[in-house]
Amino acid sequence: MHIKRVIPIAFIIISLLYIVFSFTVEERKMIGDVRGWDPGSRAMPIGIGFIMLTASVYLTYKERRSPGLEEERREPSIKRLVILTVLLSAFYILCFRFLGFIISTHILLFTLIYFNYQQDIRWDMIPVFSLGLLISTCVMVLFYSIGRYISRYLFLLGRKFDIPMLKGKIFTAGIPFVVLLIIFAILLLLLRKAIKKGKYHIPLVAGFTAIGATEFLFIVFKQIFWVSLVKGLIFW
Amino acid sequence: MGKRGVLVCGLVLLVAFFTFAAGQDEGVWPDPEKTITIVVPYSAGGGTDTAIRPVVEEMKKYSEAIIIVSNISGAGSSKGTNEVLSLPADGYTLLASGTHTVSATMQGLTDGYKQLDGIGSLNWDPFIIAVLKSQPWKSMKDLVEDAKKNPGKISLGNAGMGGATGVASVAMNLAFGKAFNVTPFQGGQDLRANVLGGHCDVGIFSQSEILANQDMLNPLVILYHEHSALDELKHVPTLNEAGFENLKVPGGSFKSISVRKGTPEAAKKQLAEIVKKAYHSQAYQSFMKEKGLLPPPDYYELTELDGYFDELVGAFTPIMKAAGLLKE
Amino acid sequence: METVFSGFLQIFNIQTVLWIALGEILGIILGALPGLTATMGIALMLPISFQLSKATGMAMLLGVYCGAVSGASIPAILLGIPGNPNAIATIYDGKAMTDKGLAGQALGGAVVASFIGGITSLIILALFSPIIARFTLAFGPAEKASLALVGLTIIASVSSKNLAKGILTGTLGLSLSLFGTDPFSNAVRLPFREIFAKTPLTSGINLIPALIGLFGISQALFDLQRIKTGHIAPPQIKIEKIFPSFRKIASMWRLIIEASGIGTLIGAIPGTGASIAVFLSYERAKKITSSPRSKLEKVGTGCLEGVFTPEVANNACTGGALIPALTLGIPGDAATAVLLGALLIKGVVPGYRLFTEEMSLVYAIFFALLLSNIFMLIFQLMGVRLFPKVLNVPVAILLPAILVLSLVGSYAIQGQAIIAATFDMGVALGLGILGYFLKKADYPIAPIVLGLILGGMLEENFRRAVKLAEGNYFVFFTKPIAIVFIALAVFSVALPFLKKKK
Repeated sequence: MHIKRVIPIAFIIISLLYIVFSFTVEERKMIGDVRGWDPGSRAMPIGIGFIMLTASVYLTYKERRSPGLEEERREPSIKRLVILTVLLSAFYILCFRFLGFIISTHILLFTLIYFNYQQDIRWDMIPVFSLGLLISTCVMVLFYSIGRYISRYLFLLGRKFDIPMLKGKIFTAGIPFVVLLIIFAILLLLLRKAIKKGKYHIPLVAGFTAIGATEFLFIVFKQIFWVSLVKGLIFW
Repeated sequence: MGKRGVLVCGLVLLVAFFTFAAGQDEGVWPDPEKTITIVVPYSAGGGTDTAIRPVVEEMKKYSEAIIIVSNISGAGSSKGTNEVLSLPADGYTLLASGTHTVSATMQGLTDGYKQLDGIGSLNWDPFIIAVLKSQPWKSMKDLVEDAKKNPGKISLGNAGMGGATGVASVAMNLAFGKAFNVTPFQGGQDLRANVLGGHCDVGIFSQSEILANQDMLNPLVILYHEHSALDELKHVPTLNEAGFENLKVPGGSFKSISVRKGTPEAAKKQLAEIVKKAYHSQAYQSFMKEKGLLPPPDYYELTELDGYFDELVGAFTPIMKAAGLLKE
Repeated sequence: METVFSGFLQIFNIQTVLWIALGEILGIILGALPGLTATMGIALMLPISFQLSKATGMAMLLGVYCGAVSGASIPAILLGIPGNPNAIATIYDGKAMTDKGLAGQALGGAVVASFIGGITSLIILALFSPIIARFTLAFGPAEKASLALVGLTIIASVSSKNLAKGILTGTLGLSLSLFGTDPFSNAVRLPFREIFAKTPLTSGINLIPALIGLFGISQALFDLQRIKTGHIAPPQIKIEKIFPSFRKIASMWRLIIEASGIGTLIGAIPGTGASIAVFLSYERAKKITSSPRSKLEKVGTGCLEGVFTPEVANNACTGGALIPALTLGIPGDAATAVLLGALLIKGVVPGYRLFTEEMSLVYAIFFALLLSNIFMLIFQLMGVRLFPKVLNVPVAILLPAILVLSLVGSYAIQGQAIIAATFDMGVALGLGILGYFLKKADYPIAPIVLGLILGGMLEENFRRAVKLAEGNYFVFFTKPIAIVFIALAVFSVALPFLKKKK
């Protein structure tokens, strides 16, 4: 069935469920209010539920009459990519706290970029993909560790000799950033031919982009803005 | 495999090395690299937030670790409180607690104070009842008499039912025989705009809100046992002076700093030391004076603060019960 | 005067200026990438702005906004594909000029036009918003509830060709906004409330993750279909003679005035957006230039006039849309809705108090908008050869990057609260998937956003108004301002039917 016909029907169900829900809303009197007069907790949800129901019934009726909604011709490979993206994002959210920011973000980026470049998902891609993911993850962890080691060392040094400059964000985040950028650039330069074309073109592009983006996000959000990105498996 | 195998092995070894190298030197509190987060369960710029931030600025001076403020607002103050309770009790997450914690706990929105340990007390911000200058009531007596004559005709606004102004307004209404139409607003700013615009008759405000609109608002009574510490508001009578000797209302918001129960004693002691120093610092004391924030009868830390919380709970219980708010 | 100066200082310091510059460049890049809207650009940068101070964060977002609105003209002119809906009227004459070999003139003209439009609307904003704000004290609960209703009905009626679709997504947004806790009694308002009590769900669906999901993730999913077609490299054209002559600009004075006026006005009407303003002003320009007495070139034939007019109008919308957002808390369009969300989460409440006690912040916003426009002019003119290169970024990398930035960004908003933050990522993904399906079926997204933002305002003020009126449900028909709003709401719903009859 065409999506334009599915959506209004889905909304009929959603709004019916919503109406049922709104009648179960706990109608507690407004705190300490003896006077009453408050329309109450259910008034809005019920009203909105019925408007939503009316609109979706009307749209269902209308789409039913409208001719010429042929079955969409969507490439199955793109459908697979959409499903992969959704499933992987869900996996990302569920495993975020266990795997930690670095590993889970890296896996998400590498996998998506890899298959997006292939423009499809087939079984025969899996071996190269898995090996690429494994190697890339190791490089990622190494990369992270270098940055982490530098900022920790700088910080402890700054504290030991009481150098406020070394304790500041600009240095603890800036120096590792520059060092990692240089390493990244050297690697990029060394492997430039393999990245541009050849057998390992795609895994290399995916790996480099994933590692660079993950580390960049980590430095921006964790080291500059102190967002507590979960460490997970990488406990150091 | 060949080359590839060697590459993988080398990588694993390097990772192991860095694990070892970076992983040592753990186990002291506070770990200087970790950040201490103070959760303010209200949005930035609100009353609780503005009272907490200056003390945090001072705390930074006495702390080895980085201290930051995080505003987690929502559902009264229970969302931020629940977040603190869900994080490990390691002393790295603190809560800006106080009367809001007590009322949120009593309403069953969070386990609140039952799961918290005190670190240090801060101050009270007394509430003031005010009306527009153009309104006919010139004193609290006028207002209450008029309200009793026309029950339900005069609206009494608060800044939200869950918070301290909500509890205070409900308590007042109960004491005056439910004469007012108690109406909650969406925070202090919304309440003020509605009272200034004449949409709501009476409002319950903090001192700074009255100061900002002195030319339009007429403060009738301060809901505290003593006068305001601010020169501009010294003349506002207390409940006693206004002729309501027997009225017991939790008439202000109290703020303090707490951690989750089960936090190591050593960490708590160090934190208490930091908060104490910050509280007694010149900068924070003069901030309190300038804003008219009043110290509690004594400075309480650790178990003393827990004791003070028990007192507060005792004072709140009958009111919350009468208002139908208490959930056990 | 003191407040003006303090607002000035909040913007003109090195840190803030750098953030605006960064935001501007990002905005131009995002705007230039087909499919990525200004709204999405702002939504993606929200988590960053959240970490900065109020003025700096707002300033950076305004930079993104201005940049994205003007950057959209790059692919519109070079490829005939609008970078985002703001540039849909620029494609006709823009592409025609490129075909004639006048790409440089078109790009330069678009930039200058954007600057003029932006500055004019800023002046109007600065003049009128304080007056409107002063008036808002007269708005009590009854007036506010009916105002929220107006915002919702207008967007439902103009955002789609089909009113029912707009109403459906609008009510969907409203229904989502009501989850959480009851604002008055604090009772948990959730299905299966025994299970969900004491989870992050009790504080409802957070606005910012929702916005990021609706605009970022849904777009990343939707654009996967472009992966096969790949990117279309811009044609190799010499870009020269960028700056239009002052004589030429002066000769278009009438077009400029009308387009600025239309842009600001349409921008200021809650719920309408730049896509309407550009068409209206383009139609006007067609009329003016095709009159026999006009000395201007005929719009539609590939001339500067046809690029200039819509570009003036779309940037004029930026200032116009801020008028209701700052004074009434009602966003002018989806992009301002996100800006408003950024303000609200920082504890800034639009309205009377903002314009009395926090006037310095208002001035800071004005200065930031001014600086954003200046930067836009500078960067676009300097980078006129550089920015088109953005079009070479492969979609295969771009989409995962947007996805990850959306997820991590939703997390960072409550970055200290791990559980709530992880939950926010889920909200973003859920709404992203929802938005994807709605987009595929051609349903408008903007009403969901307005529903989410105005839901609380509508419900609370409705209930408050009835309560203050001692249970009288007809209180809305006893206040003149409220009556006007309700009439407007009815009119905007009736509008599509009136049009049909003609």
